[in-house]
Amino acid sequence: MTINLTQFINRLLQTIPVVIGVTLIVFSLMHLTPGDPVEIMMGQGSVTEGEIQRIREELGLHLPLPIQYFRFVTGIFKGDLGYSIYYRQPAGEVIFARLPATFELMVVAMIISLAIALPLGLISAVRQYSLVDKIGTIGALLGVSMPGFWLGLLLIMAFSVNWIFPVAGRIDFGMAPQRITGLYLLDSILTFNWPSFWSALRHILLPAITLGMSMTALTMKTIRSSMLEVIREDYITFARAKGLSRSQVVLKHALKNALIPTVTVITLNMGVLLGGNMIVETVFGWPGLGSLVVNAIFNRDYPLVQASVLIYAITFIICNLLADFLYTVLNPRVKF
Amino acid sequence: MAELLKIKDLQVHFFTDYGVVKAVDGIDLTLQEGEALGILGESGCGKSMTALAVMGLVPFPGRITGGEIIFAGRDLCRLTEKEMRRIRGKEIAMIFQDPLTTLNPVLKVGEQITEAIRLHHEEGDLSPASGRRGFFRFWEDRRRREMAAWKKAVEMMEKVGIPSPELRMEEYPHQFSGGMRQRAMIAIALSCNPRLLIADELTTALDVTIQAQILDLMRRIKEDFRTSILFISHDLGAISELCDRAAVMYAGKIVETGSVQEITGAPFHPYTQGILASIPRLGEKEYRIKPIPGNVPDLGDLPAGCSFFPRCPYGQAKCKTELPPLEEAGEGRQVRCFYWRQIRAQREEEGGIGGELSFAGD
Ligand SMILES: Nc1ncnc2c1ncn2[C@@H]1O[C@H](COP(=O)(O)OP(=O)(O)OP(=O)(O)O)[C@@H](O)[C@H]1O
Ligand code: SF4
Ligand SMILES: [Mg+2]
Repeated sequence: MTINLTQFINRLLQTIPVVIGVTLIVFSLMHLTPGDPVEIMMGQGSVTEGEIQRIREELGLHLPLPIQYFRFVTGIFKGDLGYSIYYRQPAGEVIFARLPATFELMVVAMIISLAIALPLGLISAVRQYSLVDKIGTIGALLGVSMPGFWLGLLLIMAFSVNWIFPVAGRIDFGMAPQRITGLYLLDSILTFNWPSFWSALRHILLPAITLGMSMTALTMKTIRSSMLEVIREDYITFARAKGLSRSQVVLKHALKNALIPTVTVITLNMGVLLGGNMIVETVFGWPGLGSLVVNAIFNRDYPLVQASVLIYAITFIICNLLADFLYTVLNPRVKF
Repeated sequence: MAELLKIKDLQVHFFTDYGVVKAVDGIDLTLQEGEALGILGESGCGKSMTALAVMGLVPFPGRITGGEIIFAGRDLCRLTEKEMRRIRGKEIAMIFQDPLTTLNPVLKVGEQITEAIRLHHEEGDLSPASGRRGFFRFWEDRRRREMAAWKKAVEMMEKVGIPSPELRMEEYPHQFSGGMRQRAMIAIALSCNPRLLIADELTTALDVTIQAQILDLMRRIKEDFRTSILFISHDLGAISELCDRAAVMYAGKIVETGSVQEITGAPFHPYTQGILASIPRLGEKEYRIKPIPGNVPDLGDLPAGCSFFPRCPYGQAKCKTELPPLEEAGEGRQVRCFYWRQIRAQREEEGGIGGELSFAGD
């Protein structure tokens, strides 16, 4: 693996047009939809025309669209993501307060999904047409085709015995651990606060399973098919001919090769996870970025939606970069 | 010379959705200690499956369905997987056609060599047990073993003619040229001093000059390491350069065996004759390449009689219904053809190969 710095910077620069495109699309979409945000914000009848006008001017909503867009973009570079109409706070602050919750949910979803998908995918490839393989294939099909919210509702119906798996929120009231990273599970471990850990774990499990499900199916299918391809290769037979056992060959020679496409798929699909997370967070009342965006859309909180979608897009772009990067790290044949 | 490998009536069948494919259909072979035996045959006649059967690595849905593979007095077909693992790589090593696909692309070449060495060398011969006791002992022994394996690997790479082996150990297969990859693969195979080396189409993917170098290397291996070689190829030229004896395979069966001189100089079986006639000869004014008409039969649906019958210029009614046995045709010589005596007689009359042959049987 050799990483060429110039090429790496090139790859970074390539993302700039994407970012600009995203801002443009977000901006236009919000302004093309009908409904006046200030009126919604103020509620019905209680404010005068004049007041509404004043607020519009305060937020710059009276300016021509291109200028609004320009202000939006230059603001981003100054670290100013706009001002949330609804929360009456800088949008950036609102978002970053919610980010740890979403991040934590995604990480746990990812861990659960990998813990299921990797062994299952591996076994179904090595024992093709076996019972595990058949169950896995059917499960994957279900997992892919089942909408996230539906699975979420099913899980709620099945397990929502409140004292085991609560159906809303991140943690029981008043149990939040001392804030270090903002990730409740991690913070409660760091402070040896086991009651908090248990509470956070109970809260996160159902939404994480729901969120991870689509990804599990996809990961499993990818690892299975790349594994099936790899174990037919000559170098696998050659490794066996050296006298290595079947499991040594699978875990050392085959997995290392099969992981290359799998890691790419996983990293790219973190973006998908991000999208699914809006639905899951809404269903489970998870106080993260996803539910924030959904609410912001209903509230016509333009600046907040813009800012969050921007964060989404940047995360997505980072995932793509990460996928490229990991591909080079894992595959000695390519250079960045 | 002692017998090292004896294959008796080996059957390898593939159980597919479309029926049973008899990839290897009753093979008999003997290989003496220190000898190089060539296996010649068209693509798909079961050469690789014979080799993989010896390794105990016939791929699914294939299976050894009958016969014996006696190696150094033991029937390999009866060994457990665990016992077989001790033979693979250590006593019998195998190398493959395409070194690019045979070396793992994501592992360093050095790792791929030392892996085999660490696996098969007894702890004692790689590293004398360290004097220290207790906690560090495990790690120290491990490091010693690793270093010893590393040294041995470098030595092997030197022996097969890879320049600056220390550096190349740290490289990945794609950084090697085709010929060097081939050498690296051979180094891996030889790293545990196997008694038998099976080479499957070793030289097929190489261009002519590299091919000559690799054949040269194989000849040196045979002499220096005293390794017996089973050399699979569809290139009679390569076989006659390296091997002492040759066995010709057709549709999962041996059709003729003999010394390389006999097979190339005076073949008895019509199929062997066909192969010889299809090889252009240097020095001949015009090439008279006569490919054997027709195709290899479908191994899933073999004709009842001689499987060469559909393509045989001498075929008689009897050949169509009855399977010719593998007959002794001289010292170390066998032929599977009803009419090999007549064919030989006729050849002797006409003198040499290449003449138009016709056989008036009916
Ligand atoms: N997976 C499989 N399923 C069914 N039949 C198979 C399978 N693998 C191999 N065979 C059969 O085994 C026969 C012999 O294959 P083998 O690889 O031994 O041929 P070969 O003589 O090595 O040919 P080549 O010169 O192309 O390597 C093939 O003709 C094919 O019909
Ligand atoms: S047995 Fe008959 S068909 Fe077969 S090779 Fe001999 S002459 Fe030809
Ligand atoms: Mg082959």
